[in-house]
Amino acid sequence: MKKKLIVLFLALCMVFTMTACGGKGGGEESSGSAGGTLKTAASFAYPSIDVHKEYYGWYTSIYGLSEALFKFDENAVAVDCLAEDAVADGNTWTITLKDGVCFSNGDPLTPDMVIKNIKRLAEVNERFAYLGDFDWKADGDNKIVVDTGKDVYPMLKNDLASPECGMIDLDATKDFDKDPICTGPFVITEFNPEGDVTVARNENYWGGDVKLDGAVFYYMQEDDPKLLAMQSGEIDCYNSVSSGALEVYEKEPDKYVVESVPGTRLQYYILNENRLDDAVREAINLTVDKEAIADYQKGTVSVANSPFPDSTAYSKVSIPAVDTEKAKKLLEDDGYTLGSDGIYQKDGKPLKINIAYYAARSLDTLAVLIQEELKAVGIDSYLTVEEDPDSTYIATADFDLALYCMISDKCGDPQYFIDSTLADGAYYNVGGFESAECEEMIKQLKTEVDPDKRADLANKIIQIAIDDNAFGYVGLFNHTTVMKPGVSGFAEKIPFDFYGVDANTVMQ
Amino acid sequence: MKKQKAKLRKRVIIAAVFAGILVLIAVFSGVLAPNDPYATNSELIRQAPSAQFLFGTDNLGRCVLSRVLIGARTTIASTFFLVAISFIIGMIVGMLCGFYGGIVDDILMRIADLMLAFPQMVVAIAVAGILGGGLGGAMIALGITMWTSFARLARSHTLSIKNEPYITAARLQGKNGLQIMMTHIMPNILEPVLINALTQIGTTMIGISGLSFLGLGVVAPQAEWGSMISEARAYIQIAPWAVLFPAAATVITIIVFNYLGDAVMEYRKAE
Repeated sequence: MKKKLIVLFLALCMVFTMTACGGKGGGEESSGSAGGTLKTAASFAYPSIDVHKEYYGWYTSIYGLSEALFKFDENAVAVDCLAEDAVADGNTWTITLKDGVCFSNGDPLTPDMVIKNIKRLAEVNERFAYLGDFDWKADGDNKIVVDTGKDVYPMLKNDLASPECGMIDLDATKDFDKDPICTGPFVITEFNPEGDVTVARNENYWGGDVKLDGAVFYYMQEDDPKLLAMQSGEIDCYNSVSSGALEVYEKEPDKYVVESVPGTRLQYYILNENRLDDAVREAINLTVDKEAIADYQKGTVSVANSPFPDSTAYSKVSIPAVDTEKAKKLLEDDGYTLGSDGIYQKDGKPLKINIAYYAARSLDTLAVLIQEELKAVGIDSYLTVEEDPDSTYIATADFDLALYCMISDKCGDPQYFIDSTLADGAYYNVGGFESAECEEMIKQLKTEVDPDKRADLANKIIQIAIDDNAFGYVGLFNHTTVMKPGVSGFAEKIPFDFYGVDANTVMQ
Repeated sequence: MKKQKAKLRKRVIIAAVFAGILVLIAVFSGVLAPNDPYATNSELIRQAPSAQFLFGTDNLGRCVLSRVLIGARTTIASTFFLVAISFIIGMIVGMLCGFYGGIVDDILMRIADLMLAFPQMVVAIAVAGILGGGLGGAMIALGITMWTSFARLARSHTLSIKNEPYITAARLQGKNGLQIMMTHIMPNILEPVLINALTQIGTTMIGISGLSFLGLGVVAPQAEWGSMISEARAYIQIAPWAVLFPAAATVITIIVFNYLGDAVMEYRKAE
């Protein structure tokens, strides 16, 4: 018995000691120098680094291994990378490659190799299968002509900036899963499937000097180890900083540099039109206070005034302000009466909805807050948490309100999000949203070339969904990066998640 | 010897008083909680302990003291319920195996062996994962292996008394198996199995809180000590109180119930 008591006492002491020690950032700092090896944390780790498969290309891009023909800049505009430019003329695109681009083994990147890469990507990645329908032809030493068929395809340049479109030396690569030969400023030196990754400078880099000697990406899923590793000096930087960690870093500005730019990862909810009538859906949208919710997620999330960042031309929509009195009136006009328990009921049945969510991307926080806000106006709810939303409530539509988080804009254009969530039969259009007018405009959007008209169409489409109370757009995650002083060029000003180290990443 | 027994009895009484206080806190937590444990407030996020909030507030501005008190009800009630169910199932299975023996004993004890072949927490995590989130799922997950210890104990005690003269006398009186088990065997084996149940409370509480900590127990926003620690650990450096108080509540409760179980066991040995 005494032994047991001693063990339990020690456990208690440990809890106290851990909490007491928490506030001290301290620890050894790794020595910084020009060149050097940057140590960072990666939230995900995959079994393969085949650039074209699944979303692996996102990580080969983060590791600095692969590059696409174009890349996105700080304003989410597709700019030159391996290719100088892509010019559209009706349904024909002409892509001009840069001179002197070569793979890490010294072999040049040719138009034929680009075409082979695109064809492989279309074969192995369902999301890019449409690229295989286009007619790709090499024209001379540095040009590729793409015939998109009977319809124009205005977004090809942006699509080719996707990290999955990274170029691999298909002739020389022996092991696509572990050692693809690419054009990036770094080459793989150690790849542990679903584990840590080490890269070293590509001595044959076509784009000039690479400032770092190499980089190590430690696989750390949780926020706490990243915070502790940063404090102890085990890592030099990382992104997707949590609100708790952000508060710690902001208290010590001399030790940590924090960069935060509006991102494109959207927290939103789908309202099931097959289960909730118009009045209930509208009442929910008039009740959910996204500004209050953003306050809880201190600094890591910006209020979503549309699915897209406010800076874009396709974010100009109007969302009704929070009005709980109007919400209550709507319910009462719809035949609901307030019960003695403060919950509305109709025909003796309380108004109780099922909120489905998964415990990632702060959706658990959103679920609790939305539940509280709804309860305050008389809408009861229960929470259903799932491990994998795609195979559960998204697949079965078994929800009244489903929380989800996805990248709304991954190529500087609204079409991806609209196609994924609003088009008839779209993967995430599982709440019963239908609109012939919307469908017609989505068709127009697919072939519209003029950016202003595209933005106008997108605004109209999103507005229809908002007016129909089919969705609720809550917050957009900021792209937040923390670095030790002297570290820069870790894609800290770019709003996308799929960039990391590059030739200009430096630590001093 | 008498002095020793009195000392042990004193220990039992002290432990029982503390355990009783904890149970009373759990029962009356709704009255004792100074604030609504589920009310969020963006202006009160991560407030340090103060006169208004004795244990501070959490990441959503909820009163930690109120949540610890309401969490006591969830944690202690679910632990008691799970131990009670496992105790009942284990008693029935153990008595059946011990009394009848033969194929019934073989089948049920092999099932128990199968359950014991894997570490309890590993089985619990796997089962809770399959069943999905929820306190019910977590309790089933832990209960799957928990009944076996009661069954084995009840069986061994049944075996040791089933050939006693008073059991033979009952048989000769024409009592059937069920009657003998209920009126003669159960009262005689109840005490050791009940003491075993007392010692299981602490372990069970760790199991339930552990599963909730891993996200396999209670579903948000329900207050439960394990899930409170899990939610708060992300900001342990800026609001340690949100972790500290539910952790302390867990440790103290486990110490009290383990102490009670040990004290009762030692007292019984002395008798």
